[in-house]
Amino acid sequence: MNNPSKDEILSRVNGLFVELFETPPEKLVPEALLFQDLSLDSLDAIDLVVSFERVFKIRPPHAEIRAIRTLQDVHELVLRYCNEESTMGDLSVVPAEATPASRVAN
Amino acid sequence: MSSRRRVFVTGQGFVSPAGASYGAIESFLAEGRSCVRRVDPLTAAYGLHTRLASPVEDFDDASFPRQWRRSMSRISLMAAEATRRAIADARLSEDVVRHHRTGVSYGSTMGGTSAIEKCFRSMTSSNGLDGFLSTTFLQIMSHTCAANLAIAMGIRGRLLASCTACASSLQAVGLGYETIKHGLADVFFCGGAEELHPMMIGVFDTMKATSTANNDSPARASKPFDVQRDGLVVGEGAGTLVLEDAESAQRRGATLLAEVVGFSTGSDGGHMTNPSAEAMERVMREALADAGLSPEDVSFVNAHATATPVGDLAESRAIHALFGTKTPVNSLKGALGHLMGACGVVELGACLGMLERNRILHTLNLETPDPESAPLDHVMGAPRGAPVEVVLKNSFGFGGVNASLVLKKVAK
Repeated sequence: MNNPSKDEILSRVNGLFVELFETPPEKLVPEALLFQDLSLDSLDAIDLVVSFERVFKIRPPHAEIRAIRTLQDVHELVLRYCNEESTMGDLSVVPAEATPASRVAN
Repeated sequence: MSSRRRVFVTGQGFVSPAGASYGAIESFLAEGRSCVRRVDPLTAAYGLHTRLASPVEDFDDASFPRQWRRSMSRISLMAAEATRRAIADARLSEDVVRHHRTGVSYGSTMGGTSAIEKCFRSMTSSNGLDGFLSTTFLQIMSHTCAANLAIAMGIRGRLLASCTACASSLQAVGLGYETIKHGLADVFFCGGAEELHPMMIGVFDTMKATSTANNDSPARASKPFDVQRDGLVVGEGAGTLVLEDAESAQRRGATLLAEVVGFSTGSDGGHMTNPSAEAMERVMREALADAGLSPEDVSFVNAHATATPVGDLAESRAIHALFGTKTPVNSLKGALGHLMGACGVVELGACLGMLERNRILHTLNLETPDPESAPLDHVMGAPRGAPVEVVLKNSFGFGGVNASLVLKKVAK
């Protein structure tokens, strides 16, 4: 199986922030604090973890997830578990929308 | 022991097919305009017999902050915008909004139907909960409007969620009135909302309760009380009234739009969808008794009348039993359609306009009252200029839920 490269993984992680939380891409710098700089809260954190499972097929332990503070922490965590659990497959899986369901009409 | 306090409407805001304020809604309806549209993507595409609905056409839900949108389906976003407008209209300070004696009373038939559909589609396609986010349930839970309003606005008083189908928002206003009246709160945001969805239309379509005879003439379709009525038109919207204790309103120099002087609600205790004229009549009598008024004091009755054969018939009998043919009667659903959880509060908004302008709006599309119904003084053809001092407003919902509320003009 062809696993994604490190750059592909990190690009996908950043893409999740844009898709799920509408984070402006220019704010996605490694030192960005998730809660203070990127305006995430506890509900967003849950959805981020769910997206790890869906997109990367990884389930990091809760203790390590709770230790996350910065975007770099997220990058390192995902890379660490992606290397250990190499069954990601297609990274183009789109997570469920965080924004309301679009109207059925048109 | 709590004393009975006076309760006033001090603010209003709407997201409706007819406008964003009570004045705009009343003007729209006075001009004889209709909100009913042909909406094939929501009807024909699902095999429904009706092709009609009353949509809110100018509402952009993308303009809200992400933290609102993630837990709010369209229904709650409309409720939030209506409430923002009401807060601005009432000139309420943040201190008052966030005070622990400021509550919210808001209802709807269901939670966010578009979110519900998305949720269950995901479940059936994936056989799991892959589609679930942390906020999925917040969009679909039955008290989604009340809860989201409380969080978004910082409301810390009592939270009431009257999810009673078509009686939702009138009950919400009535419950807010009673809470303030009995000294348990000073300010209440009261109202209701509903979002348009094929399922909501389909519920009535399945029961043969939607209008199908005028699919090619949408504006003529909804005919409350008319001998040729053939069913209702489902719509959407949201409305918020600010209710306030007299002392609180006076202290901050609020504008008094009307006084809520009476309310009652009760159940048919019979059939889930076939109404009881006797139960409707009882609730109207109780609302008037609560107001300390007699039928002769009422300037007009704003009926629930949805243009279904059975519902209009029962309500006509109930109104006639109390008022005979002496009191003008109208229904706004000929023009608005049936806004479901929002119907009571949006129609109350129009009543505020009628109180202010001393004219009783006509029932659009009512040309020949059904001779099988009890005789009433129907306002037909055009608005009727008349002194308007007291309005009795009805809403009736599935499950035999009945509600009546009495509004009174504020003496200058």
